Amino acid sequence: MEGVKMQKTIKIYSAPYCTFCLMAKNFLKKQGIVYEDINVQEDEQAARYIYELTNQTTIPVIIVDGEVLIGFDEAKLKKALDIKD
Amino acid sequence: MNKEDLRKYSNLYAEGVGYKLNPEKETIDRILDGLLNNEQKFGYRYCPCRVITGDKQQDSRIICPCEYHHREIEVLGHCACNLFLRRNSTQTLDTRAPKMIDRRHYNWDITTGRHLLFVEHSSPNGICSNCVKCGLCEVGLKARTGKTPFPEVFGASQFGAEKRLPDLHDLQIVPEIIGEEVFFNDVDTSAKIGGFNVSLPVSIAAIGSTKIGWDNRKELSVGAALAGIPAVVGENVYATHGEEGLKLAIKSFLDNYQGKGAIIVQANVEDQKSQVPEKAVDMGAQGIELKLGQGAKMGLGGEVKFKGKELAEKYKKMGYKIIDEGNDDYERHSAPGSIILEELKKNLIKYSDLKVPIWIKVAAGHGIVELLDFLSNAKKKENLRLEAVTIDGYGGGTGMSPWMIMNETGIPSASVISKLKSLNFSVIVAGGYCDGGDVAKALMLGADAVSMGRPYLIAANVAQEKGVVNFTGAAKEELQMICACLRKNKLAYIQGMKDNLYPLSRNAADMFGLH
Repeated sequence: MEGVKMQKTIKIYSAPYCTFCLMAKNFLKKQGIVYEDINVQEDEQAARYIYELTNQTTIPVIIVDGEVLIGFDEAKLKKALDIKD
Repeated sequence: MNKEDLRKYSNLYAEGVGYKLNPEKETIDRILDGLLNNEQKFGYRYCPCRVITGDKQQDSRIICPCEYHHREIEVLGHCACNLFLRRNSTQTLDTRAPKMIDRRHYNWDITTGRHLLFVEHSSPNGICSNCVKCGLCEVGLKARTGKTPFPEVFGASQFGAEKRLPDLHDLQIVPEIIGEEVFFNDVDTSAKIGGFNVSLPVSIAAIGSTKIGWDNRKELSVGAALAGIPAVVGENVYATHGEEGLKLAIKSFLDNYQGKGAIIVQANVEDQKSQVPEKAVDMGAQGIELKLGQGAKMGLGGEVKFKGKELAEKYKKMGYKIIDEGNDDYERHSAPGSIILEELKKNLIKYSDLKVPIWIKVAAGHGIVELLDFLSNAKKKENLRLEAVTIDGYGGGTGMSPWMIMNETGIPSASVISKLKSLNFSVIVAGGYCDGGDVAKALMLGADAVSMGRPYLIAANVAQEKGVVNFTGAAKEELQMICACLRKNKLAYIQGMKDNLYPLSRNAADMFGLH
């Protein structure tokens, strides 16, 4: 689809009481970006997957078209999403 | 625990270690709810902002306050979930005094090209296997600051060496098979050490003016009196907390004294200049301890950090070395003190006039045999009131000493016992002892008593004066059981039973003189 910018595939591994997860999701919502939210406290398989993938335990883990971002860093997330200020 | 209790507990913890709780109510409420939700669901208050892996050992690291929060707060200003914040949120990375929780350090993972937060790279030699210029490893800290790393959080905790040397755990107690039965509960553990009757040959080592020590001072004094053991009030208490502070430490013991144990006040070089021994005896101290050295920091005096020029001037007048770190931050260093034998004898003659038992604290090292032999002869000739020498060694605790000094200098105090000649005062060993087994082995090697600092500080931290009494009770029970195993109905009878110690390695046999 030449000329049409496709939205990147975004998965956010989060937990309900996690402040930075909430901040990340609010940011995505504000930008009108669709994402898949995976609750790692409900989905044990997903929890193990991101622990093995990142070798650490901090969430959110945001995967933008395969690029793994740990924690919520607005500047880094914007860069990964090609959002310019 | 309900939410308000958890809020109070979290606040207490934050205050205790020098952080603060996040002031945003909505944020903190969410985190507390998350912690309590995890407690209900998983049995532990796991951090709500981390993955629960299902691996119990790994997950134990994320129980709040998690293993990672000190480093995160140091670098980011807040922990991962934003519960604890650096007290001054505008404060940048401390480039003056590098601090490390321990020698494990944290890095970014460049093998995958990703920016990871605090992945541990266990590196016993302190060298990162894969440098990505983060500057947080031991070498990086030194490169950034030009200083040797100290443990954190200064003042709020206590520290000890991490390196594994052959120690008393490398000796196995060999039971006596033939003999009359002894019921452990009937074993008499009372003794006379350092001029005092005690319920157990164990004393609370000098705990001084550092915040954590002072926070528990009253509980330590009261607990020692109730347990019937000696407690030493550590150095610099007079300088830091004044006459009232010294009085409180002494009076708390005397008000609860039951006829056994003693309250002893330690004096370093500056304390002696300020006539602390004389003042302490006037206040009712039953003994004094002259500090000539310490296992955790041989060659270094006691140090504290503080703010304020006025206080710096006051300490300078009292004879302390003051280092101005800039930004109104100062370090106060005590003199490590000279040991010139004839001068020491003169000092002991002078303090013998106070008519109370004198204890000496010294670090284990080259010259210890000669020093103790000299003191024994001097006591005989000059009729000194010297009643005990505490030999402090590797593994001893401190409020402040660099990791390198704690790990790489000093020897275990029990290793010198077999070399000592016959002495006319009690020999107390200190440095890393923490249970009845350790005490029994030290006595079996020939020591008269054992002094413990950090275990008692932990006991007081956990359960106040009752913690001190209970911890002593547990050590007593363990010693009674060992006596039963050795078929002795009095603890004093196991002293010198070296033949019943089996070294588990040649190194241990060499170190403790067991051949």
